[in-house]
Amino acid sequence: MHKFYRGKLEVMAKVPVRGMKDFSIWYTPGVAEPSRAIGKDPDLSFEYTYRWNLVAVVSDGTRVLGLGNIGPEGALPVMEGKGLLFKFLGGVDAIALVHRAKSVESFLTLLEWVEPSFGGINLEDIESPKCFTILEEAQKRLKIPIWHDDQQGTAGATLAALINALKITGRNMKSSRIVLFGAGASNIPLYRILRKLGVPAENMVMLDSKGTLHPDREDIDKLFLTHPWKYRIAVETRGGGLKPGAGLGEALKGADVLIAASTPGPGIVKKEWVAQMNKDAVVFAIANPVPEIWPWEAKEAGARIVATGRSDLPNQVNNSLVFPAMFRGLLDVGAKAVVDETIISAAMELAKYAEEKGLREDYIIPTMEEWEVFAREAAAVAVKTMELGLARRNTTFKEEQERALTIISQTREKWRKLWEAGLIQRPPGEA
Amino acid sequence: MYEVNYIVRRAVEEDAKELAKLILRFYMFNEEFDKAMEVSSEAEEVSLRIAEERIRGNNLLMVAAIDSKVVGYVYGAVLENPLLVRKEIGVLKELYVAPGFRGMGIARALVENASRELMKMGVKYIAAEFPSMNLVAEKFYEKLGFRRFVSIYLREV
Repeated sequence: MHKFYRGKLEVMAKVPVRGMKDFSIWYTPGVAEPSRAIGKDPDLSFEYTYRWNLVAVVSDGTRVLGLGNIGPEGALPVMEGKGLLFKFLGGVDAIALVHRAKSVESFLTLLEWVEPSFGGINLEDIESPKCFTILEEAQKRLKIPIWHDDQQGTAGATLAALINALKITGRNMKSSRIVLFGAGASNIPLYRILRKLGVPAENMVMLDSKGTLHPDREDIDKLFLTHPWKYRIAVETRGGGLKPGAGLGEALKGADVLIAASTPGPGIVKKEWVAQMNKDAVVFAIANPVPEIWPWEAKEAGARIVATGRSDLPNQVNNSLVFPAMFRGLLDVGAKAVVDETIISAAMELAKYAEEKGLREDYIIPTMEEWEVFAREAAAVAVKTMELGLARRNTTFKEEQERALTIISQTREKWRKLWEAGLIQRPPGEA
Repeated sequence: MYEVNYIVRRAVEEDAKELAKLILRFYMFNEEFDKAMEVSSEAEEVSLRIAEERIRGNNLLMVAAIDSKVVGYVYGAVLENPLLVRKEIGVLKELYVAPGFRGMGIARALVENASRELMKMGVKYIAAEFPSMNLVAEKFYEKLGFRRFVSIYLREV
């Protein structure tokens, strides 16, 4: 299939070309005027060019999916695929930008150099903890939103599901005992976001492969130097009141919520540990392709609500519920940045949508089929971005919801028309 | 962060056990910067002996304590060189604050208190030692008004 189609995206014109004469509008001499204007005010590039809707999907190819270091060219099919999701789900133009900048500093320099071309940057597949440094530093240096899906996307989708899981089980987030198993790209920003939502640090505990992050752990000073994010969490949570080196079994005793984003299961989270959690426990096991514990096992052990990362199981915590609509909203207001508060607003809108549809133990987060939620999510993001003073353009919730819905449905409509007209080739062997 | 009150005082006999833990931590911390500072396998036992010796000794040993818990220490000495106008110089050889208690100004308080004590012992200059690769320490001491002074180079033979 991949060879047959030779890629998944192409560039299409969206302006009238009634005859060759029209090129004098779109190219020289007509193009001189917007260029001059942009020269004086670079932000006008968001008004006069496609920049406002263009995202770079950036990867160095060192850690692509589960495939390891396959080089920038090897990463290209994946980045192009991400572009397809961006387009189809969010109406966002996204191109792959694979590169050979290996060091953190050269990676950041690359981003700074190409910033004028794009309305946003989507970082893909960077290893932890390098991903934290690059994201934080790029966010400081660039005036467009920088996104790393493994961090913000997963944290956002998880938060949406968590909000509703707590609602069903009648819990208050601030007084829940939350165990974060896995100290990687998604749980670290999730911890930060939960703190921002008012969850006291001492109500949480985070574990990595060596056990509880604790200020008295043997390797704590190593973390101080090499992984300040883990270090800070160890100190802030004080190891959640556990002993240094305590394992997950210990941590789950009397816990309300487990969010496991660690290594593929099954059997990583043991049934007997879940059984020690509080009544009506919430268990998220979001490792892919196999969750840390199978949902039925967790349920047998007494968990009331279980979510995973899989589309063939209920309650899928899926990044694709977040990033296309997130960028739709960000781009539509010419966002200068995306921050935790933006992610919270997207998660809350997702949660609200599911709640309006009717929460059930096996429905705490919208499914990918319910794509009308994307327009609402985009609107929530756009409005929050404005409130935070991070927008280049203004809008209202209603206006953005309509715009997002139009852009996304028109994208699908164009596609359908091209498909029906036979302009998108039928796959080989298919009538 | 948590609000806590700490005091800085001279180390006493009762501090030995907790101090030993911090000394060991300090050495394990330095090990991270340079394999020439690899900690020996007996360090755990040795650290208790060292702590006791230092408490009894004449060099400067001060601890930061919260209630009765020792959470940080500084160890310093006076070096003499009769050839110099300033014959004596104070040297802070070790400084460590437990991870749960950083970011509250304890290290700074330890350095300032130690400096005062060393001044009483007649020195005009205070030096601080740390591994070259420890950029955190470099920034910390520069903020307190220290400057680059002596370099130590190392080679394997």
